[in-house]
Amino acid sequence: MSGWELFRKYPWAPLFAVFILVTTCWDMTQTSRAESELENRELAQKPKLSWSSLMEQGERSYNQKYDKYINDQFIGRDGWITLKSVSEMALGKQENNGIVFGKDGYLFRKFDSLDSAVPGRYEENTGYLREFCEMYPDQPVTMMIAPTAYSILSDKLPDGLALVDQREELRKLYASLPEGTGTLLLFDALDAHRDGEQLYYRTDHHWTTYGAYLAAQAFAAEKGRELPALDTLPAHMSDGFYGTNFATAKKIDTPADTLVYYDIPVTGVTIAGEERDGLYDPAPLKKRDQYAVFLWGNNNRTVITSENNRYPAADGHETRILLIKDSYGNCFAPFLTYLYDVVDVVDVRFLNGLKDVLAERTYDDVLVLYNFETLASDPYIMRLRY
Amino acid sequence: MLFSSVLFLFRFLPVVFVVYYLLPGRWKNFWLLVSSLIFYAWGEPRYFPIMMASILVNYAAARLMARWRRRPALRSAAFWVSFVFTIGWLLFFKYTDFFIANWNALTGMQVPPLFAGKMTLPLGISFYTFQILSYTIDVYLGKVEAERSFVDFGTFVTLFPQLIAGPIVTYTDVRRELHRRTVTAEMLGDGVRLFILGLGSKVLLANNIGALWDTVAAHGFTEASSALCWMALAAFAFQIYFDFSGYSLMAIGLGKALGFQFPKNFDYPYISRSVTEFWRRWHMTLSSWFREYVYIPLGGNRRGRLRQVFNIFVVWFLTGFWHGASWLFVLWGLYYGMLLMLEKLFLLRWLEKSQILSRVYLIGCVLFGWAIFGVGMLGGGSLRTLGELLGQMFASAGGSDWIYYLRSYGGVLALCAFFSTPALRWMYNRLQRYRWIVAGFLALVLVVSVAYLVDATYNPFLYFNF
Repeated sequence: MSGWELFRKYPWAPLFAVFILVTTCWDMTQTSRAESELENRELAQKPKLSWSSLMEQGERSYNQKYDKYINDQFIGRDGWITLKSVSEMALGKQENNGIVFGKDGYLFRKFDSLDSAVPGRYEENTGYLREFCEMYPDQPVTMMIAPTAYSILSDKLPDGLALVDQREELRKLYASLPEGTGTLLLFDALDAHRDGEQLYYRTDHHWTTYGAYLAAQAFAAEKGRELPALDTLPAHMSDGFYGTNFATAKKIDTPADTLVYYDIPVTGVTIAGEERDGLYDPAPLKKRDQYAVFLWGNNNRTVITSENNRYPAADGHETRILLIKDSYGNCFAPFLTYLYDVVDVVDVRFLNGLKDVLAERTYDDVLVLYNFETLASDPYIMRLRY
Repeated sequence: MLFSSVLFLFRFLPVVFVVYYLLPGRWKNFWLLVSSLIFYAWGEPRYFPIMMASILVNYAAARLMARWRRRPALRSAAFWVSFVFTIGWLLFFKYTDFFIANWNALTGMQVPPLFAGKMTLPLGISFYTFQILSYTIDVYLGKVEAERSFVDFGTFVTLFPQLIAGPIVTYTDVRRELHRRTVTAEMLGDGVRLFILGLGSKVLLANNIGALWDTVAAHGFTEASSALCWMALAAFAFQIYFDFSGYSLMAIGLGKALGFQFPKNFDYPYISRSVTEFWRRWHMTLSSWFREYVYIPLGGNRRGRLRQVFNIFVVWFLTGFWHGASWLFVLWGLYYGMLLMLEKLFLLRWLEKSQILSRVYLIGCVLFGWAIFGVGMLGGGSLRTLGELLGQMFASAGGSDWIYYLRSYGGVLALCAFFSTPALRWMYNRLQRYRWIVAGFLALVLVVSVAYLVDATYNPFLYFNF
């Protein structure tokens, strides 16, 4: 066999060899990246070889970890991802990695069954919510489960796709809560504004600051109170925000979101006992995923004090709300400073339990704010009982 | 290890082939044996000793059978020991829990299952067991000489291209090449081309379309509209074809680049005009294995009509059972056995009369078969699930869910339909003179396949149950 004959008659064979060899050598000389900005996650690193890891099964086994490491650190990973995305779009695919491509650039999680994240989790978690309400009959608990993007922006869903009916499920859930528990459905408040400014990010699973403001306003109204108009607050905008749904779907032609945050004067922000400079962490604004700007990301306990309260107590005591939240609460909490002297924020994902917090005092209000999809996936809601 | 992985393409493949081409001839088999064992042990090191034991026992038994040529009793003993040992592992790993479940159902006892779905089968056990058996049976019947070299025999059993998903290569297929082989430019050219086409079949077609079937099945067929159920079943038919034939193509391509000519395994089965023809084109090495080692030894068609019917029944029972330890697979096998008998009796003559009706008939038969098979592959799939699927398909259940899925998968479905026909081969033959167009097409398939492997979201291995 002569090399020339091979090249002339089967040019793809030497090309293939060169492609494989060059890519392999090039790939092996690369140093590992710690994280991927595009995918918004840490990348797998070279696993340690040991006898026990070799004999392990499944995801913890050495060979699967090594497979993942080779994949995650492969040369030009972001470029390959882009190529796949382009090819998927050419084929007309409407989803990737469990993220649905909605209209006008909206990306939604394909939440097509209550069991789609973790089977049975929704039933468990809603059970814990009920238990929590029963455990603290003396605390004025209000349950506010935020609908996620698609249930408000149903017109942005691709045709023919039916996802979980959050309106129906939330009505059922609220009806099943113990008597005396306050409940707040946000559908009316959000529906009324769905054709206006963006209520949810296109590329992220969170609501926008505007969506959170409308929810806070609904909560205030429930208490017979009112927030200052949004346009009276000084606003900051940050472009180039690509959120979690983008990082998962990797649909590269999605336009970036703009994140808005407001100057809300505070006298103190304490996170886990440590004083912080203001409500916002400026660092994430330089990255793609900027949502962590709010309240310095997710933390176990955040206490906000301010002089904004428009409704001081008649007896002069310091009014205090306890906000039990997931990350939807991060851009929501600042608005509560207009209604209470102290806003006490807890996230049970980073806190072992609530008994101590609730034993400290009887709060003027206890607000539980989770988004609906968290109820179907979060493994830490059981800690509400501890 | 799987072919369709970055690790295989950009670590295993270059190292194995570079060393293989550099080594002198007499070392090549040793190197293949070592790399094949690494390939095998990578996914599941705990089964490595079983593989080694199977090789050793069969190698030794064949040597003994050769030595005891004039002592039939000893010779038979050697054969049966190795036969039972080899097939024993297959029965043990694959069928123990099935037998326990049926025993419990029959007697009302509560024998706990042995594996309870916690252990995966040894990789490729259904394939390599058949390959070893073909050798040991042939030696016993005196059709072929016992292999002298342990390395050569080990290489035959473990040869990584066809180790885990076929084609089922018998010893007689590769005996000559095992000892002396050359790689011509044509073999390299064809090898690379077939490997890339196989990779594309698996990664671009099978993986993409398979997600549709899995999605619909995961939600339950009763939740889907009739149109979506039909789409899902078509998706499964394409997934199993392109996955399986893709693996075979990759194996054949790798084999050629190493100097082996493995038998063809798939020959555009979906263009068949009868079930008889379909099974001459689908998983050809399995059908010929059963013909060679079950049907003909049972007497084939030489012992009268009744005996032939019985033989066909046995073969198709076993064919079904080989695909998975569940009654649904047995049902699937017997369904085909029955169709083949009907065609032998009268149907074939009718089918030959119409180009169109015969194809419609075949597609219908095959889809119904895949409904049984696909449900059998679902975790917890049962006759009830099958009833739900079929019921839903013919219930004219409305709903607009299919709009979403047609938009998402219509393109892939069309590509699958196109590549199910010999159109690409026809074009390749026409384009003999325009080699660079072929090279460009192959480069595109390869590069896009790599992109899908790097950003893998759905890359199942379907043959854990085979």
